Amino acid sequence: MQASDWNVYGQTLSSRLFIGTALYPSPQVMCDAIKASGAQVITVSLRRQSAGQANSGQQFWNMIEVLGCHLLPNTAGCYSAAEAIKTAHMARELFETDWIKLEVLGDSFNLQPDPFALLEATKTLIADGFKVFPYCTDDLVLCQKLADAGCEVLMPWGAPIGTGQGLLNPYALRTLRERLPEITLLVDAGIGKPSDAVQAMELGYDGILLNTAVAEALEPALMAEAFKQSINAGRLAFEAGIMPKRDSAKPSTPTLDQPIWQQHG
Amino acid sequence: MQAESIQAIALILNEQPVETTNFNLQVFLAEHGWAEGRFVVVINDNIIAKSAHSTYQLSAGDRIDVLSPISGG
Repeated sequence: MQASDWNVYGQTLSSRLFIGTALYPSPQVMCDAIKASGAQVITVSLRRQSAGQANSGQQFWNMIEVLGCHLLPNTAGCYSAAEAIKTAHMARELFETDWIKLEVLGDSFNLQPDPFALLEATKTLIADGFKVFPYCTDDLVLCQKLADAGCEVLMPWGAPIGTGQGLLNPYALRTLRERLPEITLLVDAGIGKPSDAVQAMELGYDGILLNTAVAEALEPALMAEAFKQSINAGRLAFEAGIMPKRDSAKPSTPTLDQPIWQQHG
Repeated sequence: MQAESIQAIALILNEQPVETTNFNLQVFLAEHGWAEGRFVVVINDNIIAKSAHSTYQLSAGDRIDVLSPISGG
C-alpha cells in the first residue's frame, strides 16, 4: 500500500478518478481513454436488448473485463425508488458486485436527483446488503440523512449531468466537506474541464466521477490523461495545505537588511 | 397412432410477444441467442439465478426480461 492509496468501501485504490464508459465515439477510443485515465473504477449499466442484439452486451462485457477495473453499475434512468431498487438487484446479479451508483431522478429536464426517493431507495438497498454510492444534490441535510442511513460514500453533483458547467455551488460543496469529514465525497456530474476537477480536489473531495468531459473531448485519451494529472495535482494541493487569501499584499522577498527607505516602499 | 403435438405457449420477451414450444428456460434463451455469457433473467419481476436456468419451466403468459451489460456514466 502506498501513501497515496485510499479506501472505498473496503477496497484500496490508488486512482481518485472514477470514469464512465458511455458516449465514446468507438469502443477502442473508450478503452484507450480508460487506460490513459488510470481509473480503477468504471461505471456501467444494464438494459434489455432485443434477441437480435443478444451478442452486443457480451461484446461490451468482453471489452471491459480485460481492463481489470472495479465495476460500479448505475441505476440510470430510474424515476422511482421501486424502479431503482429493482434495477440495483438486477445489476448485482449481472455484474456480481454489491456496489451500486444509485440514481433516482426527479426531473427530466436537468436530471436532478429526487432526494426523497433517493433516501428511501438508499435505506432499502443498504438493508439488502448493497454498498450504495448515491448520486445526489449538494443539499447538506439530504447528505447528512444519506450518511445517517449508512452511506460511506456520497456523490453530490457539481452541475447537472452532461452540462460541463463545473462546480456551480462551491459554497455548498465546501460546506459538505466541512460538515461530513468522515464521509468519502466524490463530485459526480457537471465536471467539464480539468480545472473543475482541481477545484473540487482542492476543496478536499476524495475523488471525481466523470464521463462526458472525456468522452466528448476531441481526443478522449489525451483529456483522460489531463484529468488524471489534474486530480492528482488537486489532491496534492489539498494535502499540502493551501495558503489563505489575504486582502493586502505581502512581500515574498525578505526585507531584512534592506535600506529602511526600501522596506516600506 | 399419431404423435401428440406440443402446444406452443405465448410469452412476453423483452416487451415483445413470442411463442415457443421450448418450456425449459435455458433452451428458450438459447433459441433467442442467449446461450452463454453475461446476462440476467427476470421473470415476472423475479430474478432467476443462472444456476436455476436449466431446471426452470416457463408458463404461458410469463413476462421475461433479459438484461445485458451496456455502457454507463
